[in-house]
Amino acid sequence: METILGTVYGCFEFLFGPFFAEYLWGYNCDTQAYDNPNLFNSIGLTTIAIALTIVLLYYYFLNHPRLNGAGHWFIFLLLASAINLLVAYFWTVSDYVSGNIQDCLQYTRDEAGNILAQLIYKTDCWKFGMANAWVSAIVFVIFSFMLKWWSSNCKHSPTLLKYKK
Amino acid sequence: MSKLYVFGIGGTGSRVIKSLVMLMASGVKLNVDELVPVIIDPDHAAADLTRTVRLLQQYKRVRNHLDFHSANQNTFFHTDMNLEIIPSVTLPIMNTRDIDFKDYIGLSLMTDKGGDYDANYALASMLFSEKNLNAKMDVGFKGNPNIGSVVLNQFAETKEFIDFAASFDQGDRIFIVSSIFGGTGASGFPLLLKNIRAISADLSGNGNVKDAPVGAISVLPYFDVAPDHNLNHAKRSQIDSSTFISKTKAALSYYDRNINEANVLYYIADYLSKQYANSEGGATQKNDAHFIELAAALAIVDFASIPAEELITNHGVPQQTMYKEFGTENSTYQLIFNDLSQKTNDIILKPLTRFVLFCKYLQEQLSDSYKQPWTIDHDFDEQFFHAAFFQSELLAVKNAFIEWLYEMGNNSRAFAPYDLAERKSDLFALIRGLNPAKLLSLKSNYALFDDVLNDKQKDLKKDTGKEQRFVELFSRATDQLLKLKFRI
Repeated sequence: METILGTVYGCFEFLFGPFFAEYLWGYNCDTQAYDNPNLFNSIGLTTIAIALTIVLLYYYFLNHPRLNGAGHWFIFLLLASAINLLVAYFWTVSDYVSGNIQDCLQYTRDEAGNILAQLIYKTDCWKFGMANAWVSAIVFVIFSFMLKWWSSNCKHSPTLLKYKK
Repeated sequence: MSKLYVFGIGGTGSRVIKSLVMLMASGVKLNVDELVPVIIDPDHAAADLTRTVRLLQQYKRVRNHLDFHSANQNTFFHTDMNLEIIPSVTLPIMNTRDIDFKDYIGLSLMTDKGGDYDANYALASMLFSEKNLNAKMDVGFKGNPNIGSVVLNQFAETKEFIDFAASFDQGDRIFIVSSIFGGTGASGFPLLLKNIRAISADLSGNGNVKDAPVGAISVLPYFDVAPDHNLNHAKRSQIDSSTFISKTKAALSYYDRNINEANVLYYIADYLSKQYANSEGGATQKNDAHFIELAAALAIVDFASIPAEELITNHGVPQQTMYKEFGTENSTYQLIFNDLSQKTNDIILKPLTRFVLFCKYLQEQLSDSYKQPWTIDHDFDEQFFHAAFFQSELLAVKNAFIEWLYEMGNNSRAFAPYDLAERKSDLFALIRGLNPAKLLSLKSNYALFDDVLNDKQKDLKKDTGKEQRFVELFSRATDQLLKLKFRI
């Protein structure tokens, strides 16, 4: 169960790379085990909570008859994705800037300690943010289809039905 | 099944019936199961008559799609209308086409054996002027009750009157609407009352008719007609509004002495009046709707609500006759709801406002709301909105209703309680003098309307016809909107 969210994010590993993934899995260079906090779970649960909040906001708090078109629903999906992109970025970039990402994940060094190659860049934080935006969108779609049916004004949003005048 | 037979005599009779139908469409409850409208007007082409008959038929067609069992809360079109007893709605006046009054009464035959004019001729010449005798009657009696009282005396022999008597059951009531200042109404009312109270014993149902509760309203002058300045005296209109008051006085004097057969008599008048173009009749006789006609229609609502114990008649003679008048709180040139009495507002404010909201939604918003859950969930689709019920029945009543409100608003005295201009951004400011409540909601105007429609549609069962559900939904939604925005 603990690896479900990480597995989902693994589908987007091509965006942020394997070393950034190791950092997120909680790899500890000192113990060579995954005993640091699993950030996939932390960030993933936060993403789910934010997406759920915006789904509930759209379907039940706003529940507005002028916002029940597919376009409006898509805007709220983008809003959730944008927030989750920023959450993921700032969550990881703070670790990056403060040096909390362990050295063995960041660099390849020779025996003298000289850097041979950099494995994680700051831009990987943005790329992970983009991956999180995709995850957020998937979660938003799932929650939408689970919860929309009891909304009085937005129950058909998104819908494939179209009324022809 | 109690029925209320409403006889509308002349142009005013037609227009009052039209106002009554508008009230019924909006949900003003008549305390009877069925209304049976009957119009007596020799001017078959009068626009006031044809407009009213068309509206009656449209109302009936809409009503045919609706049912009112206990689970339904719809009040629009609540009172049923019976157009089967007298399908044409009118009592025909025979032998008045293309004929002079003198030929109608056979003036030329009033001779003695020697060929000289006899005493009957002399009497007729005394009672009727030369102009009266030469009058054509295709377009009515042109303000001459002395002609009307002769010609209208025939309607008791018509098939329609016989059918009326045969259909009349115990518990049914009769109401007669007429003006007192013209020709048809002023003469038709006493004749009809006489024919009811002294109905032939040979007619089926005569006993029920003879002792029926009868109410009547005499509408006193409330409009003028422009003087006809045609230099050709022979072609000049015979309708002269300067004689309205004197005719009214004469008729009231006659009624005072002779009309004691009605259970309830209503009188209504207004000293303000609008001047219409002078029309002797036909398609050009088309007066705008007037508040007086609405108030007269309220007399019918009032009459239907009077307990039967107060309307007892024995052998054609009422135990008592009640006399009633209508009044407003304030006498302003443009009446709004605040100028009417509480009793009047209790009857009309809520139903009329709900129906106005319904009509405005159909007119201004519907085409933008086709994708709302209330349309999708109940299959109110293209086919529904293009079907006859919607296009030629419901929209026809809606158009007539809005036109009726505009006409009353532009008349003198005006009744303009609503701002009918399209105001999508301030929909609920439509009742003049009544401020809508502010709601703690993100939804306003037609978004609030759609919100309520979407909420109420969940309670509608789909085992009834779409037409029923459509009207039911708007009835429930407008009721809720009035509670939210106006606390009524």
